[in-house]
Amino acid sequence: MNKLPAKIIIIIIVALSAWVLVSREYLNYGSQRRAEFDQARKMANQSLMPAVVKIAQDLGISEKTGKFAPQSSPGYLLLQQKTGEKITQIEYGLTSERDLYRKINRRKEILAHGILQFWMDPGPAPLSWNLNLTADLKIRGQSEPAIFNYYFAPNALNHQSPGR
Amino acid sequence: MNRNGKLCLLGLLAFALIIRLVLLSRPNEPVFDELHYLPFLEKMLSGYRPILPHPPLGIMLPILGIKFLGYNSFGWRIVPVFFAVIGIALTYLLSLKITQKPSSALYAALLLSFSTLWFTISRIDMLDIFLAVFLLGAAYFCLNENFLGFGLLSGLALATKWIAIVPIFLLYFWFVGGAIFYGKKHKIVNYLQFIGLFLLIFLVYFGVNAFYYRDVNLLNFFNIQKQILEIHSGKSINLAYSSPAWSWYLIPQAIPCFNLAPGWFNKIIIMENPALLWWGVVSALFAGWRIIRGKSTKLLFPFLLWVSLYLPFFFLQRALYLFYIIPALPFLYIMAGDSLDEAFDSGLWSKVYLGFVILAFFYLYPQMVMK
Repeated sequence: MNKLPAKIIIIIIVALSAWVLVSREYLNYGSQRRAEFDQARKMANQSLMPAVVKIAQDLGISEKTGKFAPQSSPGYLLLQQKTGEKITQIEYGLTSERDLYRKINRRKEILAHGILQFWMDPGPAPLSWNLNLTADLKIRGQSEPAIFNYYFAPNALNHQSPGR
Repeated sequence: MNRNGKLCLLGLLAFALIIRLVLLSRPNEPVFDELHYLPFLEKMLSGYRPILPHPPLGIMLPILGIKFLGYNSFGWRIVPVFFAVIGIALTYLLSLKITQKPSSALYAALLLSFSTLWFTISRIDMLDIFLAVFLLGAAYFCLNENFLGFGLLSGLALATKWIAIVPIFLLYFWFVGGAIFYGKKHKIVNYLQFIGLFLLIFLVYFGVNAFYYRDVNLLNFFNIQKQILEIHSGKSINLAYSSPAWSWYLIPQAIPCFNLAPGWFNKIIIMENPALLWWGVVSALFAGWRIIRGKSTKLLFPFLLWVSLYLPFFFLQRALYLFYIIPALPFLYIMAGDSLDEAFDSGLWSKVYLGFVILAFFYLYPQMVMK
């Protein structure tokens, strides 16, 4: 690389980077998003949990186990319906609902199970967020799981019709 | 390399280790993707072998730290720290092999040492740092025509994350093609090497799987691979901090990992110093231009590896994250170090640039470390 163009490029890069790094927006980006996320999680725990439990009841799931993951990862709320032999342990902390789905699906004694997973996507403005909740409900005899989508907004619960 | 150069490198490695160890145990709870991987570690420690979402090696490695230091945040983060420092040393050795210039190699090692992304990810139990170091080792052995070393490290890289398959293919054909077309040995010996290397990589990959899953035969081995494929071909969640591959090198991004309270030393943010990324991209484009024009091919090797670790993400239909560029960073900074050395030698301008990179690192330090 020739010296002169390299010097010009270095000047531009250093100046732009310095501007980006001292820019308040950039440095605060992480903590702002984090704060929104924490706020959304707090609200979900406080006000939306009853709604989530109601959904579980709607789906015919009577027993609730699981808890919310404490930090930035999507929280996992695992619900299961059991019949037949007793299932003593529910898998928790798996990477994806597919993983859990596969594990549970191997157990023939299960008539139906539901896995409710929620995650929050903080919007650009504080408190403008959605809580998406997807439930895969596999019923014995059906080849495909039914997927129910629920979208939450603060203080409201909208149930969208089941779809694939 | 002269004595001063060796001292510089050793000092740099010691410094890189020390700044990583400072407050490593904070926070004393899972951070970011540790939430995904620690439950697997817990199960492994209790003797269970759950099916993993990735090949097992990267998820298993932190157990080494836990065995010595106990099941605590320091224990599960210490192994990535050592891997990060080994990665800096390997970057130096690889750059020296490619450029034959100690100053270029030292620049590359310096740039990686002060990479904020390399720093933060090396203090969290994630897979990317392991993959990066195994690939660096494989690349080094490939250039040194070390059959066993190359096969072993390639197998270990593949046993960490599947995305390694693209650079390994590239290295494989570089190694074997070089032997066939330019080697001094008999052609038949080279063709046998072609097959032998493939078998060695497969055996290492299979061996790691067999070590983890215990009673593995070929049939259930392929079933496990199929299940991993199913996990990754399923729907993935687009989180607030996912970003498309084209934006990684162009737009400065910050991923919040952990936030205790507003202020300095209270959060951990994953980000890269844009001055490093942008100079790296300029250097890579310049290297590519010179390669195409046939002016210099010395950077062909790191250029192809960088491309092989970036291009595949454009074809993946899933949520993507900035930190997926981690394994590509050493190869990018080898090109950046060489450009810096070539353009300015060790003159004022390279010092100004490096000074800015180091200053930016310490400016961002309180955003990456928690007290």
